[in-house]
Amino acid sequence: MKKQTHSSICIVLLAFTFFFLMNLLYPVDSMALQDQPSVAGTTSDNSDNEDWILGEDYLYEEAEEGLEDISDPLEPVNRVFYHFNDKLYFWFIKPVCKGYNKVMPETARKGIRSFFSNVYTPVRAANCLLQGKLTGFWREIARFIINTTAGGLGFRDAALEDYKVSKSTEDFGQTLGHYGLGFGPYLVIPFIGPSSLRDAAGSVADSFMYPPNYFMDTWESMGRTAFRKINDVSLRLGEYESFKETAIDPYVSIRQAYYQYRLKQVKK
Amino acid sequence: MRAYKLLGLKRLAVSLLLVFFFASFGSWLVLAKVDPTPKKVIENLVNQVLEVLKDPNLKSPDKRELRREKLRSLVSQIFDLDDISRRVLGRYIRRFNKEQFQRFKELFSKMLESIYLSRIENYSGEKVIFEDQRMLSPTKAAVLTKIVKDGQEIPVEYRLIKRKKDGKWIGYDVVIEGVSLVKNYRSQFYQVLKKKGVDELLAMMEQKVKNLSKQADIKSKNS
Repeated sequence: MKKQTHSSICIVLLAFTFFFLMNLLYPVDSMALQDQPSVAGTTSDNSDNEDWILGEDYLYEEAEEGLEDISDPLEPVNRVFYHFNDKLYFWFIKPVCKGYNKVMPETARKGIRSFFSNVYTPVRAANCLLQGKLTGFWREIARFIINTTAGGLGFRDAALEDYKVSKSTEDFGQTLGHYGLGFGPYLVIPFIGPSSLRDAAGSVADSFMYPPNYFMDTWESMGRTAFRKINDVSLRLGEYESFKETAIDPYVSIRQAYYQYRLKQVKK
Repeated sequence: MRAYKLLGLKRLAVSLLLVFFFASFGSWLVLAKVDPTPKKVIENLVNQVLEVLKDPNLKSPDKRELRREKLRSLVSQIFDLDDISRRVLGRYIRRFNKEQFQRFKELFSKMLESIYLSRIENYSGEKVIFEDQRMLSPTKAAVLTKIVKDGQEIPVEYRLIKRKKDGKWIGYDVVIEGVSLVKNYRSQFYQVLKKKGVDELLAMMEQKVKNLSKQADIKSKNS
């Protein structure tokens, strides 16, 4: 009989905890009900005064309001180079890519892109190591082995297609950012595009980790870089145009996009 | 006597259990209906938009305006233009008077519409993958989706905020490939407002809207 009382007490306790947990999981509606009257009180219909400035939900969130942007003391110079790069794209790179697209089928261009990306592995792997990202480092090594063998010297990204091992895009600019170095001033570099002092210095450091630079002279390296660039852009024609279309000031829009994109890459 | 008491206790326990069970289950059901998760909100929106885009009855050119109207009303259910305009202007909203802000909203919505609605309309069978939502704060959430186009994934993140008025989740930002739409426009508007002023910004936006509609005309003639 004692056992039976125990069991009924247990059941009651269980019921209580169940009820309690359910309400813990979904406490929302009681909170919403509490909120309602106060909000209704503040947003009464006196919209004639300055109250329209305060949106119902946009009540001056300081953190979001601050303009998060990269510092740009060299803006006048950067704008000149931005216009140079813009014209370079429309008058030279785009027509060349269009011609190139006619002679090179898309699969071949994708193959070339993978090949160059595979050759670039040492840079990514080294930067993974420098940031202490061991998983990323081993992934890069595995990718290199798989792509060089099964992927036919890297012309096919077999690691991604067959084994779902994706690239870890690390560079020395991100390594510097990882250890807390800020962007420094924003730079638009002719022929290359948006960068910052930190990331430009980073890409110089990266070029020392890139093996082909050690057995090709300057002219050969430049030719190789140009070819790689044309090949890459030929697969992304139209993206720049559609990005530019969204902006009222493309220079600022690109700067801000660069800043946010790099910030996210460093955080990863 | 004791057995009778015990029976009563047992019955009480059982009935209590039943009451609690139904009470909590019932409240759970009601809440599930009232408060869809941010992920559900976005999933719903995207699926409804895709349905409109795939609808063969709406594909002919003469139905174009009807289809646009449908898409517009779907998007405006989740995205509140007034709220987004305030976010985009940030503290510079104080430089606007009421009429200027009204004009700004008009131009901004035209701009967004002619840029992004036409991109949505160019839909050609891309797939959308929904990933889990992430709470940024108790009243803010991010829903990550991926658009798959020729084997490449484009990450698109929707940011939602719980509206204080009715507890509904509404969108306040879209982050495409790590670039926030609101932040991007804000940086552009801030620069113009800081260096020039409200009227210049409105004039620039007017010019932009004109250029966009010109381009759209050329495109529709070509196709």
